[in-house]
Amino acid sequence: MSGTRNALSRPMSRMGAADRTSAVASSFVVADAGHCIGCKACELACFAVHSQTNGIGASVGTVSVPVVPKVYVVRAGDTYVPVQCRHCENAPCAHACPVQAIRQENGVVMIDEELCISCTSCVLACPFGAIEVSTVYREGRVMTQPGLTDRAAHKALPRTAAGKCDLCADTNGGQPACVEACPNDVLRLAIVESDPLPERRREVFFPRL
Amino acid sequence: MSITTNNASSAPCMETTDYTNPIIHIDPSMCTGCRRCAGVCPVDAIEGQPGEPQTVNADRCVICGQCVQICSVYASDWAGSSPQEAASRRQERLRERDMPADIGEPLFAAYYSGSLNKVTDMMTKPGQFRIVQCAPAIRVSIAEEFGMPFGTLTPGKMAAALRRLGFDRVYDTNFGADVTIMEEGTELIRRVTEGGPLPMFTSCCPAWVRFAEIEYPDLLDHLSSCKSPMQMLGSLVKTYGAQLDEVEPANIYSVAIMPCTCKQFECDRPEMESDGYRDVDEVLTTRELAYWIKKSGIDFMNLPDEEFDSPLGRYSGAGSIFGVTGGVMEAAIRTGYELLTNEKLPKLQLDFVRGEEGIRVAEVQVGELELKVAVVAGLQHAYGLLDRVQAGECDYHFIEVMGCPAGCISGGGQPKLMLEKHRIEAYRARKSSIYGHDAGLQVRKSHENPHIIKLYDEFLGEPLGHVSHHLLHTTFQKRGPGKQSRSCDAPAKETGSSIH
Repeated sequence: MSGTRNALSRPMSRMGAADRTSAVASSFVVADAGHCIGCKACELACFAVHSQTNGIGASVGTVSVPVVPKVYVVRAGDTYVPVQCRHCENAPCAHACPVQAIRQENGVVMIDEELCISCTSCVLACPFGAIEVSTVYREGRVMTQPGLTDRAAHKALPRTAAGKCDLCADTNGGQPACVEACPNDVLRLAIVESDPLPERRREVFFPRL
Repeated sequence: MSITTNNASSAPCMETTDYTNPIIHIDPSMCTGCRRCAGVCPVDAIEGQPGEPQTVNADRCVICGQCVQICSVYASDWAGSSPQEAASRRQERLRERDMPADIGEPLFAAYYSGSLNKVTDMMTKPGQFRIVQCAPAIRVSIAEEFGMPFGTLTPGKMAAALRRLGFDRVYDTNFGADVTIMEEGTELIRRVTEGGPLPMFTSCCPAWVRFAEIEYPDLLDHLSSCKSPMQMLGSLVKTYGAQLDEVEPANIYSVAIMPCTCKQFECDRPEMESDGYRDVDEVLTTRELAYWIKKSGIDFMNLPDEEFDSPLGRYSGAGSIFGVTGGVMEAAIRTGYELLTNEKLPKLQLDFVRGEEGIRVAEVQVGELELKVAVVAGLQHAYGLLDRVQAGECDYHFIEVMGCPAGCISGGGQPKLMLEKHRIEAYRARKSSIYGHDAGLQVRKSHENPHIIKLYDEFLGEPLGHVSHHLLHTTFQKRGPGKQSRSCDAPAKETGSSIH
């Protein structure tokens, strides 16, 4: 493990966007499962900051599209935990994408919604189940996919695209919205510096027999 | 990927209650048991284990709706079901909540029963004279439902929208607030000078009144006998208003738009009627009015500014500040000072009652009298004070209590915010907008409102007179065994103040 240094011990509250983008390799939001109360405030905050193109303001009343966040609170027995993209260094989702809609920018793995063809290869490739394919909305309306029609109904079908955590790349500042919104301080932004020897980790976890 | 459990949900689980139509609910099929609602409940009415669906103990609940405001557990309609199933489940939930079927916003586990379907049905009934009144705190918050910045002030657009929704008269609860000041101020002066139960508490906030009835039934004679501004105006609409418009009170359908989830409970109280007519027939919240405006295709933000109808829609600045904590106190002092001393109040802006603390106390020199007042915002802060009253150790004259943390601007029926970090920002903006509205009005004292003067000249006679007593005052009822053991260590901000 010596090559990997987990930066979790650094004071996260003072770590701004500049720190994140200058990180050598990936950063991601990590959750302390033991303290999550399942309130879904992270999901709501995630949705709120990623829905600016749909005219969504601060009040729930301004929402006219389904809430589809990029972080999901899951329950296992008595434990809740928010799960989202780990921004894998080797991004299996990107390997799987046939149209190169997934790229890495400053350690953040991003999906280009415009390029995405909704083939769901990335969904299958993701080891965390952190990618969801959902309908695309603009200005509060369903986007349709030109050329894709329901023949019986003679109407265009909705355009869908893969979505996942982008560490609030567009918000230009501070902590990702989910981290800020969590009432129990369950979520933290972790920055993992690059490990040039990934095999060594494998040796730790899967020793050769 | 979803945490939503798919337990078959019947009607939301409720325990026996002293009122037949519980207003606050938690949907057991959605609730994840995070208990953030329990954290904001001032009366520990939310019961259940962490991680399990919670229930509302309707006997304890004061219907303030703060749980509805904080709940962030929304229905993930897209998860784990087909779009058809999700849509039908959503419609079922909308029906349970008495919400219109075409609402697009997400649904949360904690909710209140709505009345919009009932009101829109009644609006189409022929032969009715439809009257609406709007609380002071709506005009500084409703624009947020249309994406405008926090606290955007829109009284004119609100009046215009209500007219377009089909109301024959658009009146204003602020006028009712001015009447309240006349009655409550006179009552205070009478209690102070003639010796009545002191301290006297305000009775405008229905959650506070219900709290007193449940937790401190032995102190009910300390509450002012005044009805709330909403009920006072409701009562005047079907008497004085009916005379002016020459309509039969029986044909008047009276609706109130309120920032509050408890106002429906107040309006349904059996004693809230005069001569067989309900003071107010139905209450809608700020959010429900926004649903209605959207549903009707009204472009709210581009409406022209229109005036409220006269005379029951003309108000003073004192009436408008009822929407914030400390507002009733400030309005009462503006009038009480002048009535007691027969001198002009030198400074209208009474900063010592404005603030954000749970309890603010002050001493005000009013002529010979050193008036000791307190302002409570948030019912959790009321316990300590009431314990002192019970023990006979509380020498205040007048205490304002509002159930919600920043007064009506933070009510349970106000726009619900998605991000917790916006809450304080929104409350400050709404508050400053209300104070700005007051400062911009020509008449800023209730007793100087020409329409109030006319009302007393033509109809009521004098404050606390026979007609007032009949129409504007009420009684309270014991609703519980009294306070459970609990403590309250809310620190009070001590401020001494002399107006001179």
